[in-house]
Amino acid sequence: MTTSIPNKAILSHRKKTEISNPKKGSWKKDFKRNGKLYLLFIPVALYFLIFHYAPMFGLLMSFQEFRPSRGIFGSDWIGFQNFVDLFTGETFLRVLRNTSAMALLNLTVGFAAPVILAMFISELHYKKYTRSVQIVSYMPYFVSAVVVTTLASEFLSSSGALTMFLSWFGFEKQNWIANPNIPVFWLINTFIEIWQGVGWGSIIYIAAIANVNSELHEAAAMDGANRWHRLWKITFPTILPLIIVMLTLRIGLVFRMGFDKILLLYMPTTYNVADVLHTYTYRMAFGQTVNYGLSTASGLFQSVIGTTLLLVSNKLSRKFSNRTLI
Amino acid sequence: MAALRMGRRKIKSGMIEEKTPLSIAVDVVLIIILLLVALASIIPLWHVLMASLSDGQLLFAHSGLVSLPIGKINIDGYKLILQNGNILLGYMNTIVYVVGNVALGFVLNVIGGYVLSRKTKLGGPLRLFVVFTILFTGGVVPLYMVVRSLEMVGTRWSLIIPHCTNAAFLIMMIKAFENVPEETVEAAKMDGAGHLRIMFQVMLPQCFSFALVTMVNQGIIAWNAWFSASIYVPTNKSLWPVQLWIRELVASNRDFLNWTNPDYSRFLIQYCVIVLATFPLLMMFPLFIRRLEKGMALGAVKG
Repeated sequence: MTTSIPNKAILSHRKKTEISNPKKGSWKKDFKRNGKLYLLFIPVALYFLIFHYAPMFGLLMSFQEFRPSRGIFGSDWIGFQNFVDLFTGETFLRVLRNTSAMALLNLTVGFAAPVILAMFISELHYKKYTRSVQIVSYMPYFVSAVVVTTLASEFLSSSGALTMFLSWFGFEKQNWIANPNIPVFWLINTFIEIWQGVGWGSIIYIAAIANVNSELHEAAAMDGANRWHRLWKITFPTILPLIIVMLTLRIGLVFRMGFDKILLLYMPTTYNVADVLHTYTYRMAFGQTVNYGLSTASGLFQSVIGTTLLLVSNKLSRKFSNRTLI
Repeated sequence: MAALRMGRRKIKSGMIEEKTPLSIAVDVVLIIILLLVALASIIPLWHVLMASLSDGQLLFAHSGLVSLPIGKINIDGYKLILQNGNILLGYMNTIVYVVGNVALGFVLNVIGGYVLSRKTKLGGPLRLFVVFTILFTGGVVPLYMVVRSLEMVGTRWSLIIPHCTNAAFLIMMIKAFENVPEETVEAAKMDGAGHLRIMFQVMLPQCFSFALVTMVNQGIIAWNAWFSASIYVPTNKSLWPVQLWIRELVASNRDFLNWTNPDYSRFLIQYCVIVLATFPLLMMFPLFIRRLEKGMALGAVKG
């Protein structure tokens, strides 16, 4: 939910997992040899069973008229009614539109920003300066969602600094956060994502660019290649596989991230443009009108889309770069 | 890991610098762009810091950026926080949650990482068992129901246990343990060391920087978390973390002027709390930054 997954941690090499495949042998022998290890694992297994697998089982609620007082075993089964309600509800289409629009912005502009920043930083050879810029650009990453959205509301309020700045370019002074017109909230959300993530996201690309063989650059320079050529013909192709992996990873996770900022920023007047699957699911469970069944159905729909995207992007990643997410 | 080190060495050995006018112009443009990026990153934070030191009433009437404290510099807001038991309690709660999450997550990550890095017959299925949780999730509501049925809703445990680790961190620790040379483990086994001893005393010191990366990440997540608290302890304010107090203060400041006798230093509180909740992390992260960067860059280097 609110967790930010360190992207790199879940990238893995196919080959490696194959090497570590267990040797053949009887299970009995294995248990005799490794029984203590398995016992050690019990707390970890329990954690995942209770807080990750039990909720999956809880998805059965989406086929029920769930009442907390009667629990999952006592509530009435109503088949696909929750899904029918979800898909035919008037909010569903707009929620789907908002989710897709913000996901798309996140995957394009939001994805490109750290790559471009990394190229700029690597292209400049005053390392003390670029290092300072880098460190400073990490700072927003450590700012909490609550604080980021508070800052955004303040800077974009009718007397906020950004609103004043925008008014120089002819935009009317207004409370931008409350603007219900179509691209405004989407752009604000993307802008916040970029502000928070651009520096942090660039780390991995900067490291990759630093790894490009400098002899290649020297040889190219000897042959008269200018900076621009070297950037496009050497640096960019070398980090392209990484860019593809990161993009597929992001496609896989785009439906899973960053909804808590929207939850903090949106208001009834902007539901029309700001409501996404996550916030809709949340509101159906913890808002004014509680409908756990519908909320779980929406959550399941979201989870299925997320999983599909993850599997597809994983496949793409394997095809293009032989690296996989899972 | 080697990438950053190598990168630095390469830079020292010097890359090819051309001094054509065009190249210099490009450099200037890049310097300006990067300066703007740095300014954009730092200005909002600076604004909050300066606002927290301003005069409440003048600040309230002020619009736009606060580049220097407005009016007489004062720390009334901070004083109010010290008098306000709630926010101090929120601070304490946040610290409890951070320590709890990090400690519990650390134990689970190390145990899980160790067990799954050993070559066993059940290792493959167990890995799948962990990785599958990245692939598919139950979502907010079913998790809430689970936590509820464990009778953890309304207690501190609901903010410590459910999110103390995740598959990504665990996988990172598996890789860390896999990278420890097998000879040291064999040697320890010869000396009759048990699993716990091998895990904590032999292997962990050799891959501690990875454990640190997971711990720091987990710590940041826990420090900044607000959502879990808002659903698990919505009304029990004595259990609120400081982030939830920020949300509350900002919301109550929206109708600030409706108060019969507005105390303008109250208006300052929100800035002061933001400073107190944000700047500790900003002060501390440079200490960890090299290791965190290494952790981030790991995948890139292996590729």
